[in-house]
Amino acid sequence: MTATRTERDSMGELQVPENALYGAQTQRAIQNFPVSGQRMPEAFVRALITVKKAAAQANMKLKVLGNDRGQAIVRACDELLALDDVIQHFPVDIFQTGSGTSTNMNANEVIARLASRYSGEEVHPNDHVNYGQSSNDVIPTTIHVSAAIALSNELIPAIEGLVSIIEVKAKSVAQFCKTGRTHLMDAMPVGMDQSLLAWASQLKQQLKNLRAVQPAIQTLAQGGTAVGTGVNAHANFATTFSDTLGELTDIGFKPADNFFALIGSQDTAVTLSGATKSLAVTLMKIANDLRWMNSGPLAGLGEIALPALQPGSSIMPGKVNPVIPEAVAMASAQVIGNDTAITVGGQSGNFELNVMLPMIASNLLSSLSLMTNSATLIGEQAIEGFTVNQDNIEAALYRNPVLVTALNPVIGYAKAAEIAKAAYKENKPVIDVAEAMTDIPRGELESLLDPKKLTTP
Amino acid sequence: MSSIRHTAQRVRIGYKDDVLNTVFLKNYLDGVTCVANLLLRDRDKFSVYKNAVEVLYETVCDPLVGRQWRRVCLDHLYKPLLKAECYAHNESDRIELARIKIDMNTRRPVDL
Repeated sequence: MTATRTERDSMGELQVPENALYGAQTQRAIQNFPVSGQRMPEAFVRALITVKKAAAQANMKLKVLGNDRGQAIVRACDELLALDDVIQHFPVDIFQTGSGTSTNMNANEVIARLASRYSGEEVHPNDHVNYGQSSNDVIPTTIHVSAAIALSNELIPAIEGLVSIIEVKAKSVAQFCKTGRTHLMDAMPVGMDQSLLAWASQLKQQLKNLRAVQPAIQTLAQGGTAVGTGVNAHANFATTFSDTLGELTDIGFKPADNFFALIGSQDTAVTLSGATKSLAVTLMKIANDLRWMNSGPLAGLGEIALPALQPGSSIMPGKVNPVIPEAVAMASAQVIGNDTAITVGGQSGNFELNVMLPMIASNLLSSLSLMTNSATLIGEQAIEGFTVNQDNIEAALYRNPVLVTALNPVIGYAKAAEIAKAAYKENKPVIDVAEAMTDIPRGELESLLDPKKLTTP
Repeated sequence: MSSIRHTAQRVRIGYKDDVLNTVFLKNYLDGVTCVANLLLRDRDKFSVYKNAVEVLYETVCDPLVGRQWRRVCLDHLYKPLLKAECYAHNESDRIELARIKIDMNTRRPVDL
């Protein structure tokens, strides 16, 4: 049996594991919320500790928190941030009080306990670590801070990296033409680089969408305290806090013009989730295009061969599957699902407080992380290394009856349709059938039906 | 606001009077660690430390910066370099780091 110590809070005494850094309120939350077994994401916990550090530094600058206690709090935060397994001190379930008070108090208790060891005086979780703050502004702030960090330092660079990989790959496959497809049916030829650059263009648009959310996600509720009025905080706390946090994170944060809006709603999180969902849709399209192009190798399209990463079947020897695009497609599906949960969460602001904050935080950070890792994986493990099956794409390309479209201006739609039907029926290249059914010399037909020429206006 | 980026610029410029200020450099490197500690992926941590290596190394090689300050930067260069090595897990990161280290060996400033 685990050894315990007795802790007390305003509701009385209870037993806490002897070595735990957290205290009574965290222990109550552990007991009250055995819902999912999932803890708050590490990115959120790290951002929360940084918020507490910035708050202590701001309060010291404003001379409302003594230097001894303040420095002890800062040191405690630094020690926690340096831990690889910091999450072990944050055991509260995601599905807890809607304001995230349990997680805020978890941080206050852990930091206070460590800080008390470093300071000659007792550091109190509420009176010192949480000075001038409320869970109601700390948690919305931490959602924004953690999401801003994930967006600026992880997701955007990952998408930029993917765009770069696609553009380089497009250059390397620019000499290949392949059958274009609409409705999954054969259509006019396209350059393989055109297909890839379309993906890159989609991703660039997604980057614009994500960057457009950055100013809003870098706007903070901190300083609004309980309901947005700022009661119990120093008048300059919000500005000083944002500046300090900016120094710690290298991201330009600013206080909200209206704290009530950022505490009572989660509109920015919904917007960012929407932009992330849009990115997921793009990645899903890219993943599915890759899967189709890689299908076969004999009975599918077989246009490309993705890098073989692992055996694909436990029973069929030699089978290799497009595992990375599949993983990315699943991650994209999860992000789309997360967005629905976040949308419902965003609707759950009643008067002065949104009460689905931990769920929003968890799903938003999950989406950002899934997209970051997916973008890296699909770029480095699928797109960068695929090879083109030139024989397959050319065989399909030259037998494609739709090529005859290029003859429309010369022989008219009706005659072209006859040639297409004959080519399809006899399974012959269009050029051979056109030579037999028209007076156009072979050389001119070769020029007219050159797939490369058909990929430009 | 004194962001890491801003602090990095000041490191690059060095101190006008060539005054040793290791506290300032320590603050910069602490800030770099603080930013890296907020990131979850090793490759992103690597980028943060690699940038710090580049800032310090460019300063060390810059003849327009005071010699004392360049020496201080050289003395502290190993810190972000070791961290970057810890987080260089994939081949491209390792190659990038190797390139920097080769450059360090070949372009070492002679006047330090």
